[in-house]
Amino acid sequence: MFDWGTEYLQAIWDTVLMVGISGAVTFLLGIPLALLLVTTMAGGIFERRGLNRVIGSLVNGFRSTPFIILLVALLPLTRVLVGTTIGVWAAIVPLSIAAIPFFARVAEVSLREVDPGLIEAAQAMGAQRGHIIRHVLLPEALPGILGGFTITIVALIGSSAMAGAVGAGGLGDLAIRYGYQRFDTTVMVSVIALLIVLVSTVQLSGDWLVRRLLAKM
Amino acid sequence: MSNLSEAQAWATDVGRSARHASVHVAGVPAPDQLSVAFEGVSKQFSSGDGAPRALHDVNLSIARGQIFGIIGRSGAGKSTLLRLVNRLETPTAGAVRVNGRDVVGLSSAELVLLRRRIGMVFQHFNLLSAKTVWENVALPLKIAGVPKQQIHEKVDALLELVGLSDKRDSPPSRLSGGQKQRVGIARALVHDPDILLCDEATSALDPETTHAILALLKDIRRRLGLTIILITHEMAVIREICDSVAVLEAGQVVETGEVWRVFGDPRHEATRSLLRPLVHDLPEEWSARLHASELGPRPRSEPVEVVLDLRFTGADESQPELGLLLNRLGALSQKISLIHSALEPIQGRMQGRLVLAVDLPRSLGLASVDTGLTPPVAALVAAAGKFADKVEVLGYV
Repeated sequence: MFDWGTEYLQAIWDTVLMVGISGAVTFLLGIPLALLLVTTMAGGIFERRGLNRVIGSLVNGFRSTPFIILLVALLPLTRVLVGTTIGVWAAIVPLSIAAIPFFARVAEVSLREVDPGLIEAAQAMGAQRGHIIRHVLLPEALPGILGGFTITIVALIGSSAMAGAVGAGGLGDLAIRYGYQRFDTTVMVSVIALLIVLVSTVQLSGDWLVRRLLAKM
Repeated sequence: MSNLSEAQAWATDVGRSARHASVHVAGVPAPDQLSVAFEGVSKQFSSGDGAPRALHDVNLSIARGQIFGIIGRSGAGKSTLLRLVNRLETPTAGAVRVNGRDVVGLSSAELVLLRRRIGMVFQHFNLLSAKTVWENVALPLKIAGVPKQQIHEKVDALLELVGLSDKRDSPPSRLSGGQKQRVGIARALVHDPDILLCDEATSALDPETTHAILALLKDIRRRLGLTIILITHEMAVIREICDSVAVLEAGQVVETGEVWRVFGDPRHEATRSLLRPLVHDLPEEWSARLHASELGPRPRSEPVEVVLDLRFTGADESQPELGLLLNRLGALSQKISLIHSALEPIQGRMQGRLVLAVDLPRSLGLASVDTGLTPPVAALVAAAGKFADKVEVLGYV
């Protein structure tokens, strides 16, 4: 007997787990990558144009590759990192690797918009590059970075639907297996409704956080 | 007025040479009294807009405790020059000495120490929007690893000094322009610097606020005895607070000296052009009526007045003695009227012009070949020349 309640709860939990963990990983690794992109560019505080070009191309390469291909291509790496190629954990690796370059580019834009005058003021007061990153770049760009992170999380929720390909489950997978492949419109519609609630919650909380930060500025 | 030939515009130095001997000539300060010295500094670079900019062989000495102004049109290179002092810019040639030490070869650790000795204030304030007023002022100390207790004392005292104690927890966005600049000044002073660099610190402010900020800078110099180097494109700022000024034009220092000297007797076209907004011209109704010659298109029987322009450059530190001047001129003419005056003290030296219309005695005589002036006019010019630094005949009405 098919237990609808359990099936939905499991799917929600799988999605939250996949998006939550890959989101956290994306945040932790995407920000350093964004900082690397911003500080090594021409005129940046760690200007290294060659390195900047290499990293930039790499980021573009990952961003150009369709997620479903990345999912399969990264299987060997996934096995090394999490010891398995199926299930939720197997999906987290490609999800993160796809989301990091995306988020890094979004965060890069916010970091690049920090007034160069502020960096100059910090240099004039004797700040070193670490200080500038910590006290100027990150705090000043934070609202933009958080706005970008909200977008990244929403994109992750979308990509996680494809994680069914490695048996990771989740809401998207439920919609594909029952709603699409078995023509079960009820499942399809209810999953989409759940996804709308999830995406809206993420977007609204993100917006609220950004508004709160901006209000203090 | 412009159609008057130079021969008619006759200036005299008669009677002034004796007084000049006593005028103090500003010498170059002794090396240990120097705060900043540019020695043969050049810099080539291209700015953001692609136009090639450069500094050519800049030599300047800035004495300790001075307020030194660098003025120039936009693109003249003043911003770059200022940034050489705390090495936000590096020269391609020459030396920049701060307290006697060339800053060009400093290691990054030495650079940090140097920059703590030099505060900087910016045109657009450059305050961190994610931090409160208090945190902005505290940041330089926090970065330097100063103990919390000390930071608190210092920041509170400085906010008091700039009159912003009640705004300590506000974000900078809630402040007015003048208040933001006060925060910027407090932040620049937090390390007790020897030198304060002001990059167009008042250019984004309205005249009233500009005045208040300049007064604050003067007060700070008086209290803390630091050297202030400021760049501006407004001569009014230089006049209001500077001791000395350098005029920068296309990357070169074209004129430098004490402010009253440069204002009283500008030598370079760039200086004159920068001074133009401050120069009070002869009123239109007079300049339109001026004639180049005494005869003019009028019957010989009508009275003629000569218009004399008495210039005061401030070379004489005493106040112009108007009573004596009028007595002397009065002995030569029945009627003297003041038609225009613009005199004001700069650094305590009276400067500007006094334009008088003087009735000419009827016996005109022959004009001198050298000066183009008739004897009565020459006598008036000579008499006025005993009081003013320069006397010019503007024309006749």
